[in-house]
Order: sequence, then C-alpha cells, then structure tokens
Amino acid sequence: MAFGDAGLAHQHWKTFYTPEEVAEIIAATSSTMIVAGTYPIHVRLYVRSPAAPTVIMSHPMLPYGLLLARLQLPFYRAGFNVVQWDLPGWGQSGGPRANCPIPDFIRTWHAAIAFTRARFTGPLYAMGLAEDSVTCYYAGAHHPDLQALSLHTLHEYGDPDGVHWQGPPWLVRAKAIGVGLGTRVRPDLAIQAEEALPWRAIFSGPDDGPLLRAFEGDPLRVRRFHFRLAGSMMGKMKPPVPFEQCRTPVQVIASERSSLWPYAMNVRYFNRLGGPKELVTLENTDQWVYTREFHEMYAQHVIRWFAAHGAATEGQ
Amino acid sequence: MTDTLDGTPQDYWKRYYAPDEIAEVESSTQTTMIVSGGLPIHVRLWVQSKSAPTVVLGSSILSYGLHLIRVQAPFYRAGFNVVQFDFPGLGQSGGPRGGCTVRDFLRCWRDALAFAHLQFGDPMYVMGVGEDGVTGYYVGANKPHVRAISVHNLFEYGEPDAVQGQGPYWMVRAKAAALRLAALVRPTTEMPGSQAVPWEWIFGGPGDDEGIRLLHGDPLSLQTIQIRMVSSILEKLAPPTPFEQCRTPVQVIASNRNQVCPYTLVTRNYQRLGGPKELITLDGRPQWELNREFHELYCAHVIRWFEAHGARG
Repeated sequence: MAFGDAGLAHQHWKTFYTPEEVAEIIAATSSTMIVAGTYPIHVRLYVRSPAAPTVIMSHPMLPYGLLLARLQLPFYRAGFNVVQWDLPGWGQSGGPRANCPIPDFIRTWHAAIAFTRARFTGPLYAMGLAEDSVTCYYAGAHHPDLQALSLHTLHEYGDPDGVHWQGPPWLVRAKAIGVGLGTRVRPDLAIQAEEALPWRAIFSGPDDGPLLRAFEGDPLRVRRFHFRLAGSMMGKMKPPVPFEQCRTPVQVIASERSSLWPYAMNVRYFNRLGGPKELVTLENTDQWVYTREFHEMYAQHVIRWFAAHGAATEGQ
Repeated sequence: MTDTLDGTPQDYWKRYYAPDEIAEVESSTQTTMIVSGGLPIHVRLWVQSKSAPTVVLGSSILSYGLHLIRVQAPFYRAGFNVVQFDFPGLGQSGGPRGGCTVRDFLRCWRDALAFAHLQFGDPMYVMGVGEDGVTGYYVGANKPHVRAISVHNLFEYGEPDAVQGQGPYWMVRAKAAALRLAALVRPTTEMPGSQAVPWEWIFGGPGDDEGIRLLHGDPLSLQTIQIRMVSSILEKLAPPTPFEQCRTPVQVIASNRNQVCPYTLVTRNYQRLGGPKELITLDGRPQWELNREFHELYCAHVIRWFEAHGARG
C-alpha cells in the first residue's frame, strides 16, 4: 500500500506538474518493486483492469519515471494499464548510479515483461524513447508476450551514430577504447552528466526552460555518467533478432532534428526492419520537448499504433 | 490507490514468514522513498490510526527491512508508528550494492529521522541491532527529538574488538590501512558478501541454518560487498557525542555469546554512557536468532524501555 505520496516522499517532483496533474498521479498510480539481477527495480503502475491492454515503458537517461507522468497518463486515460519501471541505477531504482551497463537494462526489460505478464491477462505492448528504446528492441523483438513495439531511437550497439553527440566516428572509436581501458582500472570513473549529454536536446521546446531548471534541482537527477555505462553504449553488441528478421510490428517515431540520434540513422534502421512497421516523423523537432502538449501528441501516435495491433480499450 | 504488492520485491521475502505474518505485513504497512545524498531510500511505514509514538529503525547489512519484519511488527502491535528504512546500497534502497559507507549510513539516519519527525512529530525513538544500532547512536544521541535509544551493539568505529574475528588489534589496524589504500585505488572491488563475516556468527539460533540458506538465496541480501564499505567499517570514527557526554536514555541489550560484537566490548562502552541507561543481558544468546520468539522477547525489552521514557501507544 502506497503512502499516498506517489511513492516518493520528497516533494520536488511535484514542481514538474500542475496541481491537477499531481492529484491525478497520486490517485491513479501505485508502486512496487521487482528484482532484476540483484537490483531492486522501482515500478509504477496505472491499473485499469487485469484484462485491459498494457503498455510497458521505462524512461530515457535524464528524466526518470516520476518525471515522465505526462507520457504515462495519456495511456491510462485511453484505457491502458501502464507498467513503468526505472532503469537500474536511475531514478528510484537500485544499483550504482548511472553505472549499470546496457546488458543490465536488457535484463531488466525481461524482468519487467515477465512481471507484467504474470499480473495482467490482456495484450502487452512495449515502448521506449532513448537507450530504453534501443534496449526495448533488443529485449522485445519476437518476444512471445509482446504484440507490438513503439520506438523513438533505433540502432545497433557499436554503430558510432548511436552516440552521435560524442563526435565523428573516429573520435567515438577512440573514446570507446579509452573508456574501455579506464573502466578496467577504475569502474567508478565518471564525467559530469552535463558534459556527457546535451540536456537542451531533451528540454528543447521554447517553454522548457523552467522545467530544465526544475530538473537541475531534482534530488534524484543523474549527476555523473560512469565509464562502465558509457563503454557499454559504445561497445558492439548485435541485437538477438536482426532487424531484417523482425516480425514484431515496430513503430519508429523519429525526431527530424535530433541532436542526439540523427534522423537519418533512425530511418536507416527503420528501413532494415523486416516486419510490419510504421515511420512517424516529428518535423522540426530536437530529440524531445518537455511540454504537456508534446507528450500527449507523442502518446497519441503510440496509442494509435497499439490499437491497430489489437489493443482494444473500453473507450474504443 | 492501494496495492498489496507495494514495496515487495516479488515474493521471495514471503519464505521467511508464516501466513499470518505475511497477511499482517500486507495489511498494515505502506511504503515510500526518501532521498539521501542523491540516492533513493526505501521506507516501510506502519502507521497507527491515531497520534502515537514513533520508533525509527534502519536495516542490517546482511539483510534488509522485509527480512526484518519480526523486529518491526511488535512495535506496531504495541501502538507505535514504525518507520523502517533500508541503508543505501542494501535491500530495496538505491546505490551501489554493498558499496556505500558508514558516512552514507549516518547521513541516511539523519534524513530518516527528519522524515519521521516531519510525518509524525514527537515523541520519537531510535532502535538498532547491528551497524544500524551503532550508527543510530552516532546520529540520535543528544538529539532533542529523540527521547530514547535502544541498541544491541555499541562501540566506536575503529576501537579494539569492534570487528571481532579479524584478528588481534594490530592486525585489524594493518588490514584497515591496507583496505584504505586499496579503496583509494579501486574502491568498487567486490568480494562475496558471505566473506565479510561468517553469517552463522550473526544468526546462531536453533534452526537458523535454514534461515541462513534462505537469506543466501535472496537476491536482495548482501550478495557482494565492496572494499570501500569494508574499509569504512574498519576506519576510526569517533561518535559526535562521546558516550560519557550522552544524556539521551540508552538501553543496551547485549548477547553474552555474541561472536560478532563481544559482550565485553558492549558492556565496556555501556559503562561509559553518562546518561540514563539500562543493560539487559541475553544469557546464552548469539548476536541474533531468526525465530519469532527471540524477536518478540527482544522487542518486549525495547518497548518497555521506550514506554518508561514517555512512549504511550
């Protein structure tokens, strides 16, 4: 039983929302924990009914689950159950902060899908935005419990474009070698989070300034990116299901002006997908915009895609 | 919205308890998180329906709150609110697994006490068994809102015998120096949690072998420990309130067959306490036992002590 505070006693998260949204989050969500490896993983649930369609999602590597309720609520309002989990080492989950490698994310995807399958009887769907999106494909393609995926970022680990913001391919490869060596000596080596990732690419809307400042003051925000994580993002790792062989329906919603992951990269991988697929282009948009309108617009694309693949909600 | 699964790491924890205990946890506890040093800290709450005294507990290093329900429930039954938090890096809390330090634990105690006071006000009580007891004393002694403290182990970090089993004092200091150096070079080096201390030294009651086996298999128990945590436990760190200057009432419940924290060490520090105090000797008992009777016996001593210092549940 939650303590009537959305599972986080610290009040700062409320600064991201209007009072009405705060009330809705507290009323609509419950929280629990699952275990992936030896990490306690924080899970937020929006429950409609056991038989309702369920969307499983994590979060990108800046805002964690409780700061992305505007992306979760539209699904709940549309009749979905929502199972949202925080990446290991992020937000409200356990594990070394910003220091769990990509295989840990993939393992947690599997744990989250298994938890959801055990709890809900309706069709399951998975969606992702950033690293949670790439790992969503790695874990979700051909997963027998998933009906369809919706992704914002798609690439194969080892492609220099997967960390495009780190510089040209030769520099990325040089950094990968350096980070790999550094990790062996000191797994806790890290750089300041603001230097690792352009935060403005996530908070890119003209009205996102106050929300970015709120994020900078968040007590659970990422502070440093560790080499072990960075190295795993740069390392080579093939997806278990090659893109050409994927038969799970995949929607890719690509931001045309993303300064993190190039639009051309996402389209290139989209074109390789062998199964049912859909490409949605967010024109003139950097990676993400933090307004309510953007989240609702984004969620509508996903809801439409999932509905086209069997997600029948009571409202439809 | 309520959810009986809240806060439970799937179902493994239920192996530790009888069905009536599980039902009591699911019907009587709530969970939330506080933030300490940028880490999410898991908090379990047992909340009375009316104004009540509050006892604040941490967790042990080997296990975590959901493994320690039997040391929480008796207080709730006796009319207390209970605020139990898992130390950072342990149990259901965030942070590197087995990789946080004594200073992290101290900060977490301060944050948990602040949270408990904000939620429930006075009177407030602190209790602890292992590291949680020692760090509870470090933070709670002479704090105006803390009416009384109950601990099982009492020592100063770095004093002789405080890490019994690691050899004579000169060897402990040599190990401490070596670990400090190693922690500077590669603080995240890990070793199996079972190597830090023999678990059978901690849980020495009849039938505890099975309990130890279960705890070994629990993914949220101390599977690994990093040398920075071990180093911080061996490091010298005097309490902010020397025992002689403590005015907060302190109860010490000492087991005289304790292999981890020797009875002579605990009673020596008990003698140093300058304020109201009480020593209970658990005759023929090890550091801890996992059976229900031991917990209820132990908690009855603590409840009596807290009630003698203003707690009316």
